[in-house]
Amino acid sequence: MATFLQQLVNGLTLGCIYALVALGYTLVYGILELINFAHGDLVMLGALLSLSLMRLFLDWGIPLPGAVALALAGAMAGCVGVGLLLERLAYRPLRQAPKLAPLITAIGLSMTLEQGAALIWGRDYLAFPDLGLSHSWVFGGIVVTAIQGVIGGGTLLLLTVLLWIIHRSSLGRAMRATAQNPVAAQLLGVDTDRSIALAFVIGAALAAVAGLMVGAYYQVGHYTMGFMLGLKAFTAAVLGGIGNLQGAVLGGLVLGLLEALGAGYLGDWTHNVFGSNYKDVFAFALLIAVLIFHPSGLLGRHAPEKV
Amino acid sequence: MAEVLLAVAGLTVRYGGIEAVSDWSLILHAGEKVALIGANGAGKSSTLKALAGVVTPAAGKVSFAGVDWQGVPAWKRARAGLTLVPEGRGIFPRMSIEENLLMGVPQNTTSSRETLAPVYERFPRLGERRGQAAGTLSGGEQQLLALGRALLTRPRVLMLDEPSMGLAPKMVEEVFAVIEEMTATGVALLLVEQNARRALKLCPRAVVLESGRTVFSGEAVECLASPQLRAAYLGD
Ligand SMILES: Nc1ncnc2c1ncn2[C@@H]1O[C@H](COP(=O)(O)OP(=O)(O)O)[C@@H](O)[C@H]1O
Ligand SMILES: [Mg+2]
Repeated sequence: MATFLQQLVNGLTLGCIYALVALGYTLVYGILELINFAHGDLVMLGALLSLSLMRLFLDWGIPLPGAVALALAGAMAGCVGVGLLLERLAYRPLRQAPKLAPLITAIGLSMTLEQGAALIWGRDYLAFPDLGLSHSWVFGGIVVTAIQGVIGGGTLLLLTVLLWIIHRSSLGRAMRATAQNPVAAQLLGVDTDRSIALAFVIGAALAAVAGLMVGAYYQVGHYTMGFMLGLKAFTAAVLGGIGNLQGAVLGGLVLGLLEALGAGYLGDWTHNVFGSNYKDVFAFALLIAVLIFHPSGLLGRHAPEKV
Repeated sequence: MAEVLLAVAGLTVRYGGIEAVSDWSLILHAGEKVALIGANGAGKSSTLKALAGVVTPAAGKVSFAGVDWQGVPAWKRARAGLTLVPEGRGIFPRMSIEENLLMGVPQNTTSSRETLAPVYERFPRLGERRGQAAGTLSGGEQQLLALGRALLTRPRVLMLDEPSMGLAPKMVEEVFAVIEEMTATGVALLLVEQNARRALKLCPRAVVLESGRTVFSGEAVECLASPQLRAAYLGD
């Protein structure tokens, strides 16, 4: 039982990160029906930017909390800038093009970002600065670390802000209108280009936060770290119903839990034929199963177009 | 004569090889009401879309309120008061009725909910169901929602594309009554209708389109008196 609850805590932590990244996929898909495969690499960029900035600020003698806050702000600004550039220079010119063109572009951009990051940060694993969040509490045999608490709390806060923006602010209303009927939105004075850019901005900002979280959690940064994370978050978005915000959060949490429980129990269940290193298989088996049996996902309205 | 609000000259719309609107011109004065009629495929919708800026014309000049609007995106035209309620109404089906109406309130004014009070007063059914998804409304109620929302944008030229399409006769009457009220305050109207008889009753002026060209432009009574036009468009 204690192992189960422990895996639950670990899974929810992972799920929070998947959820934040999945929201970026789903926001852009909801408005453009585009799968922005470069989104995972924005998480990598967020992690590496905050890693470098934090080292820099700590070197300057800025106290840890200030250094973290400034590094996060810098990483968000960097990711938002890159996200806007991708939208403006790569995706916007292809809006009227056949669906395959932006998809291939997205894959190309993903590789470009990875190789660009390798040029800047090198190909070695980089140690993430210690955020001093390694102390932990024990509740009835279950260990919860401070970083897990920060990830959970931070995710809740971001989700609240996001839901407020999307459902209560006039910018969010314009964004939803653009997603539902872009021509009608324009006829009511909505600058739909700005609504679309906003989806990229929000997604990129969330990716930056997720990057800092994932870097701090595993205490490592690497130029390829966005690839697997991006694929899993995409799986989470599809699982929840791509285009649906609540679905992305639910999908992220479910995927995180399944993965952690799989890692914890796979060995037992299969008499150690498969060990915990097979946990990634879980994510992709799930993706394939969802795509075959229930392509609209847990909360989706309709099936996404095949790509 | 009232000021010229909208001046269109040489408007041409092409889709690939098809020319939907050919070298079309119109002068619309403030407060004037014009019915634009014609058979299916005559180019009525294409004309309105080109004026609203949601299709890019191959040629032509659109001047509205004395300004040249060539190349100006649709959303800026809408904010300036060149308002189109498109064919199919342009409702946001998964947003509430209230949110649909708020989309009509200009961004720079206080988007407070009091602005909606007159609309709810005029359309009590929309008020009662303000929290419901707009997609759950009947076709006629959706049309009333679209008209109420268009009114909130403070239009100077109101362009309506087939507002009575697919509606029951009683609802058609209600829609026309609302259009009459909306334009009573001096808003200019460009009305596309398949119900030509009803449109000509509302609009003193008529323009008849055939294959993207004007074949008649004059007073509605003149149009109603022409045996040829009656036979072609009024089913006599
Ligand atoms: N998006 C489009 N692509 C290609 N052809 C179109 C398009 N929209 C309209 N057309 C064609 O342009 C002509 C005029 O259409 P339209 O403006 O919709 O006429 P109306 O509103 O009078 O029925 C028709 O021949 C129609 O088939
Ligand atoms: Mg039409």
